[in-house]
Order: sequence, then C-alpha cells, then structure tokens
Amino acid sequence: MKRIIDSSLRLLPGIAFVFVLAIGGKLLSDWLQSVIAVNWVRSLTTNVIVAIAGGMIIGNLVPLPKVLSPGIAAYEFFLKVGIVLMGARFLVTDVARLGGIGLAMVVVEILFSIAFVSLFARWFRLPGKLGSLLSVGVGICGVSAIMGAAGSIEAEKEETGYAIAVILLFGAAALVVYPLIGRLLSMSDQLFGIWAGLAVDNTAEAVATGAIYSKAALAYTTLAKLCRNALMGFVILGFAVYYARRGMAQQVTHKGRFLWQKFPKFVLGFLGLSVLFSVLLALFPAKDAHAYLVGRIGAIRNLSEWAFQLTFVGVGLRTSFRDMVRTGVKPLVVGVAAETAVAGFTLLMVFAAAGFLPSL
Amino acid sequence: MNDRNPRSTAAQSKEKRQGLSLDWWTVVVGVALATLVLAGLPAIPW
Repeated sequence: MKRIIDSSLRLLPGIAFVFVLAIGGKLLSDWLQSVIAVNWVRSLTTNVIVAIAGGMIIGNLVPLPKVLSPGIAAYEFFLKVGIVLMGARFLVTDVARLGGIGLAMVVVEILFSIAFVSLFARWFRLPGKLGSLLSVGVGICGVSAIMGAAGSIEAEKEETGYAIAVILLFGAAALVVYPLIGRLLSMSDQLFGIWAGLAVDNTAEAVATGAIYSKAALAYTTLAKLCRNALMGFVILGFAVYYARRGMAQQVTHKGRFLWQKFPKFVLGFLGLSVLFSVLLALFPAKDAHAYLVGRIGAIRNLSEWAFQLTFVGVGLRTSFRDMVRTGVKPLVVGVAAETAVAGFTLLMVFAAAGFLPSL
Repeated sequence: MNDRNPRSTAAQSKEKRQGLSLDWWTVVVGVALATLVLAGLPAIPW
C-alpha cells in the first residue's frame, strides 16, 4: 500500500501539470476556433494541434523541474485508457470486418518493413541488433515494440536508445507530413486513417496523426494500429528465436507464455467494451433504451477525447528537438529510407485495397 | 521475455510481487470508467 501511495505521489505533480495544459489547450483551441474566420487558419487551431504544439514549445523552451518528469512520462497510460474507452463506440461486427482486412494488410506491411529495414541496415553496416530493433519499431508499434524486443534479443542499451530516438523523430515528423500528404492527395477519412494506422510507428503519434486529419480518420487509425499492436508478440518472438539460434540471446522455452506476455492487454479492453456495448444495443432495441445507450456512448466518447487530449500534451512535451539533433547520422539515414519506403508502400497498398475496405 | 534469462526471471517475479501490470491497469480503469458512465455518471463536456 505504501508503495502505491509513494509512486502515486511521485507521479502526481507531472500528471497535474499535463491536466492543466490539456484543459488550457482545449479552452484556447475552442476560443481560437470561435474567433478565426479564415477556414485554413482555423484548421490549424484544433485541440490536437494546440495541445501538441503547446507541449512542444513548453517542453523545449521552458526548463521544467525534474519532479514533473515521471508524471509527464505517464501519458501512455491515458493513451491506452482512451483506446479502451474508444471500444464502446465500435460495433463488434465493424471491428471484425475491418480487423480482418486490417490484419492481412498489417502482415504484408510488417514483412515489407522488416525485409526493407534489415536490408538497409546491412548496407549501412549498422550493428545487427540495431537493425532488428529499427525493423521492429518501424514494422510494428514503435517504442513499446523496441523495448519488448530489446530485452528478448539482449540488445545493448545504446542500440535501444538509438532505435527509440529514430522512431520518435519520425513520429514527430509524421504529425506534420502525413496530414499534408493526405490533403494533397485528397484522401478520404477512411483511407487516410488506415494509412496512418499502418505506417506511423508509435501508437501515440499514430493516434495524434489520425486525429489531426479528422475525428472519422482517428477511428480508422486506431483500429489499424491495434491490428499492428496485436501482432507485436509474434514478431518479437521471431527475432528472439533468430538470435537464440545464433547463440546471441537466450533460448525461449515457453513460446505461448512469451506471446501472452508481449500481447498488449489494452487491446482486450478495447474489444471487451466493443462486445459489451454491441450486445447491449442488440438486447435493448426499444427507442428509449436505445437512446439512453447512445447517450452513454457519447459520454464515454467525451472521456476518451479527454484521455487523448492528455496524450497529445504528453507527446508534445516529450518531443525533444535537442535529442533529435543528437541522433547519429547512419541510423537517421536508415530511418529516412525505411520510413519513406514503408509510407510509400502502405499508401499504395491502401489505394489498391480501397474497393475492399469496409466503412465504419 | 526470456525464460532462461536470470534478469528476466527477476523482472517477472518482481512484476508478480507488484500485482497487475500497467497495461492491465489501463483495462481496469477504462472498463471501470465505462461502467460508471453506463450506470449514470454525468457526462463530462467536451
């Protein structure tokens, strides 16, 4: 009990700081949206952009006290809670329809990413495990996947740090570049959302990129990204077995247990709420009960919007331009090549599959 | 996590001692919030 109280007290100042910035950012965005008349300028003042840009400015220009760091780093908790809550908005039949095609696309995307990044890492003579970490980061879900793989393949701390820096750098770039490309190509919310979910590495940045484009795109991004997250264990297991066979890491004895440990549990929360609300809507078709449930789903949506708002502030605060400059040139070149190739490949794949993709 | 890796085993037993992982807590908090809202918790305006 004492441990829980201690860690809560340690997190409290940073979380309170993120809450204040999130609420301030939302109020500022609402005010800007109401006073700006020019459409394209107003589109730059959505709550997502204000929260991320505000976080970046404060995080990079204001020397923040160290006592805030643990709480600021906890924003991933709010991201995952927001995703769990989002499950209530999706009918389980929609999740199954999009999830099926999404999983197939994710498998192709992961295979392409791993093959391409490994090849490029070899050309640039990056250490083998750094190449693998970058493959996992680009192919699946950024930082969590790198952290999971680093332990399993016994990568050096420095390699892990490098890979994470590259993924975060391109995550920050994606927030600007992807929506611009989407608008230039006049992509629908559906196509853009799925593309961002397939191509942007880190879950927080993927969700933010989808949200910057539109609320409808965010729904598609979340589902596509969850498909990638769900496959994390399989890819990490593959790398762990590969390095173990070469005597460069310990053997994996219980593969089932390994997969379960690496499986992101918040995906189960998302699916659980999707099933629960789909069943409730089917069980209570009467007008009043249905209206009540729809109202409650709206209230849950508000909670998930707030959870994402906290996440966006955290993403902004964490984006350190100084750390980006410090990233080495070689991993950066591999990163640029890999991210460009994966973005281009997934874009083509999404356009090719456009006729088969179900709407939500 | 590697089963024969002593560091991993230590991390696993530490996690067991600590109870639920952070990932599970996100599920608990998310489902609890949704249940409270379903039961009538007033909506927070967005």
